[in-house]
Amino acid sequence: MVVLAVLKRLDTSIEKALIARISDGDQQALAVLYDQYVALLYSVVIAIIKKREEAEDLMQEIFLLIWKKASTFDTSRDNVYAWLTTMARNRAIDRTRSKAFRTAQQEVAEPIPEITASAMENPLDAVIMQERADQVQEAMQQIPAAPREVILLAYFEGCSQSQMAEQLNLPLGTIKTRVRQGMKKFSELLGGVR
Amino acid sequence: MAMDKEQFEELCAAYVLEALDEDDHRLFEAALAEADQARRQVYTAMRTAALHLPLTAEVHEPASHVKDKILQTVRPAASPQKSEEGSIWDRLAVTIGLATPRVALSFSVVLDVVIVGLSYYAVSMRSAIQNQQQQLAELQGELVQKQALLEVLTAPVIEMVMMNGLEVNPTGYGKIIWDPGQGIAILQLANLPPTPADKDYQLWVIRAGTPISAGVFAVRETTEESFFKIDDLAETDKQLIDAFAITIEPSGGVPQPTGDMYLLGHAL
Repeated sequence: MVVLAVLKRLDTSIEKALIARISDGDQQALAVLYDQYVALLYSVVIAIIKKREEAEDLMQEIFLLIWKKASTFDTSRDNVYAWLTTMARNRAIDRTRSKAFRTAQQEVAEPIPEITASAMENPLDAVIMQERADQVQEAMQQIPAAPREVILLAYFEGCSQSQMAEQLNLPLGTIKTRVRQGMKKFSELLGGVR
Repeated sequence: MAMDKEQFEELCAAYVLEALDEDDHRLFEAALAEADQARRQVYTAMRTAALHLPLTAEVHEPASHVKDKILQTVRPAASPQKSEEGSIWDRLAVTIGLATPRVALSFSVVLDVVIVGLSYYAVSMRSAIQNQQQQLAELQGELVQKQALLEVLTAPVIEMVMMNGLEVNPTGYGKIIWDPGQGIAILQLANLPPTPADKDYQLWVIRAGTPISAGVFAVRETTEESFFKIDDLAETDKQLIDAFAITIEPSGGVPQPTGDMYLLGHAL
């Protein structure tokens, strides 16, 4: 009987060990975590902030926050991916709500060159991330435009349902229905419960 | 008043997107606390879907100086340079009044406490170092395994078979990336529940309707994704394989499948 060798997932035990090391003050561990997550977190941040310089500044803030808050991460309960992406999204949305940012938004947003996954440092991470991202993006494209719009508004602009109703000039009930339809479809497409 | 299915889903969808107003947020959390299994599954599926939203963003990377700045900021301040002046202790003694016996005695007691504290600290440090050495060993092990993954991914010809979750665990999925030339493959799995202590998952290659074991493995913790290396996938011709399947079986595996099937993927 062949026993399969376990290749632990990058984002579970290894990442939890990295967070534990970061909380012990290990800079090398922070560098490894940075390499692993920079593309994902920066992509979220730039999608929300849309300005490269501001996004890069925020990335520093986020990683310094990781450095400071690593000791509060509960390795027995929390998920590193969810912890990091939630932190990046929330900080980016907070930044867009700041007065200084809104003033700067008057300026024209810079065009941001897109990179491909192959440009990332670790080819394996790139393959895995790109492949999963392709699946998720394909699922998102299968959601009808109206529900898709509200999902993306909620996630990348941090809009509540009431704010979306106001922004899109639609009844609140319509927004609620679209959010429900969109998320239901999205979870089904990603293999969730029907 | 009981919440109907539609209202639950409506609140759930907005909750996982953090798009609920305060009152609805509280209302949903109360409903979730009392939800039955079916509603919890709805919540889990929507929450999992929301966690995938970061992957819908276009991929970008910041300039390289961002990393440098971060690492520079977290670098500990350089140790203060030792003074060449030996008189610092003399000056300290004078400053804190060690010249008097009573103060000197108090200082001695404090020093004892400090020494005990430092000893305890040294023991803790030793334990921390051992811990870090263990983590380092684990990381080195992971590196070796990652190289094995690369070995498959860089093969000139690779085959891939997608596996989907079945009724017993519909959110699971898997993939076999396979180098027919070397007979090695990578099995990537996600959302499989941990195996009980007396059970293992078993991978089957189904050829001409007959399942042939390709190995057993255990999932010991709930993870989003896991990778396993299959060292001996002898079949080199994808055309001869009908499907791959994963079942749960008694620990160590069985000659023929007996347990529930968790994943199935057709080769063609």
